[in-house]
Amino acid sequence: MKQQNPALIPMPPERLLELDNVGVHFPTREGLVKAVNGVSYHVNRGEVLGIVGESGSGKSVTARSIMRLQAKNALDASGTIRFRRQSGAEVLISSEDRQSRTMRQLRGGEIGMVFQEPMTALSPVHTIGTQIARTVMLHRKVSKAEARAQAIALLTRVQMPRPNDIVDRYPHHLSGGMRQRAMIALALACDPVLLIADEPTTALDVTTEAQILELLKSLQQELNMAIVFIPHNFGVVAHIADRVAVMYLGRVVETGTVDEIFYEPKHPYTQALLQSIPRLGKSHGRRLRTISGMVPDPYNVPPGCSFHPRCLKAVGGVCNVTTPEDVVFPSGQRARCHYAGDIAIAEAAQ
Amino acid sequence: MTDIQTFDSAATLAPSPPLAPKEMAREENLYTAKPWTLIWWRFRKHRLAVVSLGFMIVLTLLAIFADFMSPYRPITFNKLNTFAPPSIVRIIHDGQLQRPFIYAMKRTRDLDTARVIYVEDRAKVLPIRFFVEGESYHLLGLVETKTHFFGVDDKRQQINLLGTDSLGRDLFTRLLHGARVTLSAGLIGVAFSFVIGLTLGAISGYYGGWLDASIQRLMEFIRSIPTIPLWMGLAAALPIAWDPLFVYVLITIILSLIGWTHLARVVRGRFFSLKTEDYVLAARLAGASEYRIVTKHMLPAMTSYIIASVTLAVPEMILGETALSFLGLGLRPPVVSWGVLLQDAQNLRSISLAPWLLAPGVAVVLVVLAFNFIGDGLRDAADPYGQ
Amino acid sequence: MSTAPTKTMHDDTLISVRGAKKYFPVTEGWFNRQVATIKAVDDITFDIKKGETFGLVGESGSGKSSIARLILRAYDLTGGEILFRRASGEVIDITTLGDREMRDLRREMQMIFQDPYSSLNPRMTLLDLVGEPMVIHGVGSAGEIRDRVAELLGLVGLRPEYVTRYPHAFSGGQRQRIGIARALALNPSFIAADEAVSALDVSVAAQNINLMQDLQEKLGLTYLFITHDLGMVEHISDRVGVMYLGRLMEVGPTDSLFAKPMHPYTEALLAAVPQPDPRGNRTRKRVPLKGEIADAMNIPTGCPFHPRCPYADEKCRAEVPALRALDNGRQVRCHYAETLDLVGVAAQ
Repeated sequence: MKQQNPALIPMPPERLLELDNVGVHFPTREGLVKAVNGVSYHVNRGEVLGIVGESGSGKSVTARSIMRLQAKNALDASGTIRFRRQSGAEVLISSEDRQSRTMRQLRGGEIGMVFQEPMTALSPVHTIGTQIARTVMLHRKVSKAEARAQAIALLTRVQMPRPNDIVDRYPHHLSGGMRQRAMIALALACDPVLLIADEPTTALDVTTEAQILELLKSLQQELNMAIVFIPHNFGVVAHIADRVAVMYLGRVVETGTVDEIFYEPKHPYTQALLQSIPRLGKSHGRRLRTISGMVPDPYNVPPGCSFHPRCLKAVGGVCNVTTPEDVVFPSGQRARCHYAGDIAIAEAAQ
Repeated sequence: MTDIQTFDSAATLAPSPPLAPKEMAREENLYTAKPWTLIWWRFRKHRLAVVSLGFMIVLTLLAIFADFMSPYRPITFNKLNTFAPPSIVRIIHDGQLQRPFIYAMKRTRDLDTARVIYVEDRAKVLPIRFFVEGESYHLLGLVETKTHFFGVDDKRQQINLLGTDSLGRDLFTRLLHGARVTLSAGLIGVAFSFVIGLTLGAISGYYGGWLDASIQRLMEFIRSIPTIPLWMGLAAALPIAWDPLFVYVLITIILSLIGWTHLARVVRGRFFSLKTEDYVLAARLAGASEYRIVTKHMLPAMTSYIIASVTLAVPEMILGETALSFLGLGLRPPVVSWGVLLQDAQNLRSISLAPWLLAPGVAVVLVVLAFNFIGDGLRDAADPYGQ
Repeated sequence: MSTAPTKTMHDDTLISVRGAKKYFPVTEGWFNRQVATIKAVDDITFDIKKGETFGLVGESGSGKSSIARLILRAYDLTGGEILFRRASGEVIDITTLGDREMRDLRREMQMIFQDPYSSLNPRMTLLDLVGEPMVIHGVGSAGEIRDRVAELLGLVGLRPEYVTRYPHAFSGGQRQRIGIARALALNPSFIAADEAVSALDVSVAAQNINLMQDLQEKLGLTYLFITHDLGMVEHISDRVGVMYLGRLMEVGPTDSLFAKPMHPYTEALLAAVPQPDPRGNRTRKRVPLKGEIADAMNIPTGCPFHPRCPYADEKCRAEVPALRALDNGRQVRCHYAETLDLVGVAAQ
């Protein structure tokens, strides 16, 4: 299981995580669902990558497959996922088993995870302190007392109010925001170099969300940690990400720096998405732009460019026939659209 | 302002790519499928449940037409045919293929122990005939007839597929007749507990408050009583002189007086969860009366769950009846039920002499399993919208 | 049943909520002993004008959803009154109506729900679902109901031939439209939309918001739009109310309230919203509000917001501020509304 694929070119030294042409499929009664259909993206050390997309885009499935925590019936259809360990060695995560030794070392040791609903990730029958201390002891040789002291230190670090008290509380005693802080403390227990945050603020109120985002941002800078951040809205990603990948129906359709994505989007889908969200102070009384139609059923993906039935700029005979490749711009921005270059020129001319 | 019609066609009617007509028809079928159709589609995927359902349908038909399907009458005894072993149906005689037949049995005595033993008489072939004349009976209690589904022609020889008991009565015949009583006792008992459970569960779940609290306490009380002693106490109170049929009805009522709590709990739980469904609030806000909300929105959402738990309750009733009758506290001869039949298998001697007397026990196990499988299948299929 | 004298309200007002209170008892044990009270809604007063969209924002637990349910009388009020102007022009107090009168009034007020999955009975076809209000109120024959359902489906952008389908055939956004069609069945004048687009993807939410605005213009509807999404409420509302812990903190026209909030909580909420504007975010100073919303069973004394308010002083801890009407058409529940200089979002 562990042999390194000799054909793989080593990753550049700053590269922490690299996904190449990853495919995850689910057999269902309606047919084969290609939830993730050739996704490639990478994360460098200390960088925050935001992944946006509507439901069914496959963003969470991809993230779970990085941690090898995908659903039991998922099929690894294609591609490679590589991760650079703290030792500098590359691991081919995609050929690891869910319960392999390496994966257990990585999860919680080098890759931390934060989910939308902390209640499902935190054990309801153990105190917050026990859970954090146990994770610390699992990955490091420390005594019980030291682990507990570490747990308190971690709770302090995530700005948990009254850490000395909270350490002995059970998850159901905490509010949503505090649970999310505990979850982050748990994820940070062994100084991970990569944090995977799947909609960590979706269930929170806007004021609590702001607190958690500030916290994640300051921790990221302090620990020089990379984050794969899956937000539930564009505001959050604009706030925290350095680079952004936009996903649609199991594919990455555009990647670029956060400024490129928000101010010079090249893919019609990204452009349309950005125009369909109301913005504070800018949209009162205006009509929202919409994307016509809806996201197709995942077992019934349109041929050619999967976005073409909803795309205003689709060209018959091209977009509905040929699957587009990435168009790479000099800045490094990529868009998977036959006309990405032309569209960019047209936008610039406006 | 945008014209609504044009906005619509642009915004919503352009979704999925064109499908092949066949696929489209299939999708449309799914989209307009009635809830029960969806439940059936789901149930069908549960292999064991489907097989069990088939088994129960066959068994039920056999029980209903027990008089016709069995070769004899359940009370016909034969002094010269006691403890006869099951007849073995064969198709090869003297190395030649034949229509199904049995060999005649010769009754002799073991010279050492003086015990009665039966030996197959290889010379005498008794072909199995269908629609043979036999003892007369009333088909479904209406038409008098003598035709039985199968049998043998010889008046002095019998076909005993499951052997005979101590009085020489055909066990197969008695098993089919016993199925009538046992299955119907289960169904009637469940029907009673269904009425009680649905009523009390619905009151409890719909009104809540102190009514709910009282009913809950009552249920907890009933559930905390050990069942076997309670059954025994109640059954022992029934005068022995009463008509066996009347006793039969009373036994089922006793069983259901204890069995309703489980169903009530299910109904109450469903009511509680449905009360908070938005669509129930939507109906209320549309001005629907309480009666309409309960009958149109709440009950239809519950029926499949109720049917599933009723199915799962039947085995309990059957086991209850069997246990009581086995202990001699439930049904008594001459009524034939599986529990009554099992009384014959109570002592070690008869089991070692005539192990076929345990056949009713096997039947009980099969039926209980079948009901459990069907219940499981129904429970899984009960909410076709759940995922 | 109601013999109360006719109440009055301003001619262009459709609904007037006056001092509304809703307390829920917290019970415990076998025999439901009351151990505490949750003040879900406490002393709420506001008007909704005919034809406008009144937005209600607040975080979870602020009581904003309870308000919609109180106006539609899914629950009974603990105190206060709610006046409604009927199509006939008559003004009635909803809280005093008997069952029969209330049922009749339901033709004029309807609701759109948050969850597009649980708000449609999965066992009914679109015809039965959308036609149900008409069946209940005995409006029209079977044929007329069928025609009207087809018309309503067309109105919300669904094909009329879908009437025989069940809800599971539709996506979340389409289901929400079915809910809208049902709400419109009896030509109501007022619709409460409780987080009506929160569960939808952005592109689909935009479609449904546009649809709701089109319908409002076409049918002269009045909306109460409840959401936690400040961007959405700014987009759709004419006037906005901001709720915190069961109380209205501030009410005012959308533009002026967002541009220049007068309550510290409004300011904090606006500052907390992450903007889809990376460059702006880098320059914008965001000071997150400290602490969390208080437990509804232990509402702080004085101003309920004071433990989190950066401007709070002794007076705020001791005295409950009243919702005061200011000269500029705004209402604020803060002792220092006039003296604080708060920052909103700059309109462009």
